[in-house]
Amino acid sequence: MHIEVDREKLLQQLELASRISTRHQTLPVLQCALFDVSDSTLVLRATNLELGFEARLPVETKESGVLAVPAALLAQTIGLLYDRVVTLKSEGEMLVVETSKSHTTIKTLPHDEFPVIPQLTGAVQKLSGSLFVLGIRTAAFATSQSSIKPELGSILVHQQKERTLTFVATDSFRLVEKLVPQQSISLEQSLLVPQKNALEIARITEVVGEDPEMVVSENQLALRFPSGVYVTTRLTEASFPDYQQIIPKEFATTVTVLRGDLIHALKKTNIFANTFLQVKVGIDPKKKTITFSSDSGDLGKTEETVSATIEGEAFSLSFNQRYLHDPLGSFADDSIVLKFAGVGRPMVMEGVSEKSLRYLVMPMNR
Amino acid sequence: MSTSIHSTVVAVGVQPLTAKQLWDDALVNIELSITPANFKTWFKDTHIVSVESGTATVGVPSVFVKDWLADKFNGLILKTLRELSTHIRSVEYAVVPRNDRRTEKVEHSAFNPALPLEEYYINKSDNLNPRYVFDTFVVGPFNALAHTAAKTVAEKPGIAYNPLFVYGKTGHGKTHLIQAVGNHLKRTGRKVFYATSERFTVDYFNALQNGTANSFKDKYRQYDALMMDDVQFLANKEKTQEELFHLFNAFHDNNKQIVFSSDVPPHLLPHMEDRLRSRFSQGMIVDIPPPDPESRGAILKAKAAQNGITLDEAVVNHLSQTIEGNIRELEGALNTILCQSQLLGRTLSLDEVKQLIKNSMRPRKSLAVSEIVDKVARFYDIESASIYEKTRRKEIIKPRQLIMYILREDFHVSYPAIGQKLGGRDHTTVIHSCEKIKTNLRSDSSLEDELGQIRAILK
Repeated sequence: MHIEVDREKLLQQLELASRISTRHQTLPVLQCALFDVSDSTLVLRATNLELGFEARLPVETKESGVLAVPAALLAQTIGLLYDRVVTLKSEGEMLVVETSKSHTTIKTLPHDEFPVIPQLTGAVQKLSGSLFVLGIRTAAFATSQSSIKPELGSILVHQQKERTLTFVATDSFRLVEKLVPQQSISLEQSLLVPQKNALEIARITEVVGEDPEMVVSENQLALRFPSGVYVTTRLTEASFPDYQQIIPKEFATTVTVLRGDLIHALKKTNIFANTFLQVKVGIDPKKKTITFSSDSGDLGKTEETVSATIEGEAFSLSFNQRYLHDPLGSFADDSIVLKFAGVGRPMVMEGVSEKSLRYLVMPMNR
Repeated sequence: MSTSIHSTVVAVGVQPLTAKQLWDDALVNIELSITPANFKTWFKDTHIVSVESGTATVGVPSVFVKDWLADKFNGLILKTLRELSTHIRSVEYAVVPRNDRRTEKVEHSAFNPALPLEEYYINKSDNLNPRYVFDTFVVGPFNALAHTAAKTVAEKPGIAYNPLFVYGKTGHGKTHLIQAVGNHLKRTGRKVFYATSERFTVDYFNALQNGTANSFKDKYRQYDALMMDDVQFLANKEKTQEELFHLFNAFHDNNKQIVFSSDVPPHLLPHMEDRLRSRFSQGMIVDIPPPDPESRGAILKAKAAQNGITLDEAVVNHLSQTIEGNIRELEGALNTILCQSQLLGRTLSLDEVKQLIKNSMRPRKSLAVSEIVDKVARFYDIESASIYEKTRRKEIIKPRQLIMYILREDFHVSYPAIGQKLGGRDHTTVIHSCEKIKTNLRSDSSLEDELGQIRAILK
């Protein structure tokens, strides 16, 4: 192989590839990016057997060929070069990386063990890339970190309404549901995308900056971008609970409060958080206030009162304050509505006018 | 070892190795002929799915493995399998979901109870929740009729009552009941499908958008029974209603069972085509009213038993009398008690329970009599004052009687108290008024409509 390639374009794809390539105990070639050059196209591939990535770049080909080279090492090297164009050529077992002022040789690995990236075929759906990213990013924080239930370690992507996709994640203590518009979506099945893979796909979609086409088949999902980037992931094969059943429909108390006030109050209670991260929330409809207090025992305690519009009865509950704080950055509205259904029942958090994001969180016992 | 296997195959001849044994033996041989790294990477978590007419199907955990085995190891696998079982001529590969869902129970911190998601896992192919069966449905006086109707439908689908239309407020057990019908029919070998009306709407919209309306029709028509939840959400969706109308006819003509649920009876469904409304009403309509205190007690005991605890009789009585809302609220209160008693490691006393659920009770909707009078008067566009007066004008009498009926039925005010509050009337007058409305409601559907609307205003 012997090519000349635009350094920045190569670096961008190589950085995406190197995030996927991995040190694998029994298959060392997985730490590599595979370079496959024929005619004037370089096809760059990387996989960790969970995710598969493929990019196409126009190159000046002097000699075609295939080789596998450690992706992170090469990305680091190329990141530190200056010239606009880089020459890559194979010399025996080595890859030579050359510019006018720089010369590097990197040891390659046998490429014949490099896995095939599954190419999915089937019905194609045009997605809005940026909105797909928004859906994943908004939901991702609430997935479960435990591997006991793979469905809770995944983001549920399904269609509930016309022209929208719904992204849902829960670790069983809280649940987030985000709707994003997708003009030409038509999705019959629901997809469970492992959270890590979903975030990686979101990053790729963002970097590529194009609207992809989605294909789903055989427990796999793939996105194909106009520029030739292709990414595919395994889907979690499990069923997701019918979460809508647990969303309360009637509420005892509804509190409307400024998002900024809420963030501020929780930042303060966080200083005096105890081991359970417990924050007490007291609602006083007469004074029109909501009070947040935490007590660390050893260090001291703090209390912050925020004015609010309140409908319903007086109430006092405890929450894990991280669970309250986590979703606040994702709301677009300045005002947040907190809806309480009672002790032992989830609280619902929504924007005042923007209803595309809904968050459920279980209160603590005392 | 391989020779002994070989001789077994030859000796038994007509009784070849089971598929599992065959694959286990093949793996032993394959392991010897490739590097340990390769074996671990590609053959871990593989199994044989079937051996049929000379084709062995190997189940693999992912598409990566499938492609790799087919590409690189197909020859080796086929050769190895043929050595063990000569009638195998080809190998195919299929991605079979990893069964990595372990059954260990997650230990939840006693401090932070989990969302009750466990109860809502659904079967992907028919959307039914396997937990919703008749056995777990608690029957009380309030839902006995609905339960009997559903049971009858489950036993004689398509014949007894078609469609069955179940209506009631949220949390009264509609979904449980109609899914129980579905699960029962499924067990008797029928193809069943459960869909919310929203899902149906989206499916239909997509089918129209993609020009695949016919495959949409085929998809739904392939089922033997259809359960559709919350049909009130079809309001204003004329196209979807029309499609449902045709689907209904297709089902009904073929004696296939349909079960609907809604929050109001068919004739009160807003923005619904009349022909669809009349189809809803043509089988059996049953109501699930709010549970009475006795039933609430029974439900509590059953739920507690499902959670493996027994509740004190006094606690059950207290809960069933104080929590007047729907069944979900009962469950919420029960969960609170459960968590707290786990935390303390003992059963709670009645006083502790009282203290604990003080906050979980929904404020009893309390309206002053004057407010009710005002709202009803405004509904009929008359002066509130005239309700309290002795006038017997016809346009006043009806609203006045309705107010008495509502105070009695919905707010459980005593007859003498109603009479006194509404301008010092005798309690027999009140009794007569309530009875009159009751009788009229049976024959006069417009009166029922009005009552429904007034109740909505009072909410």
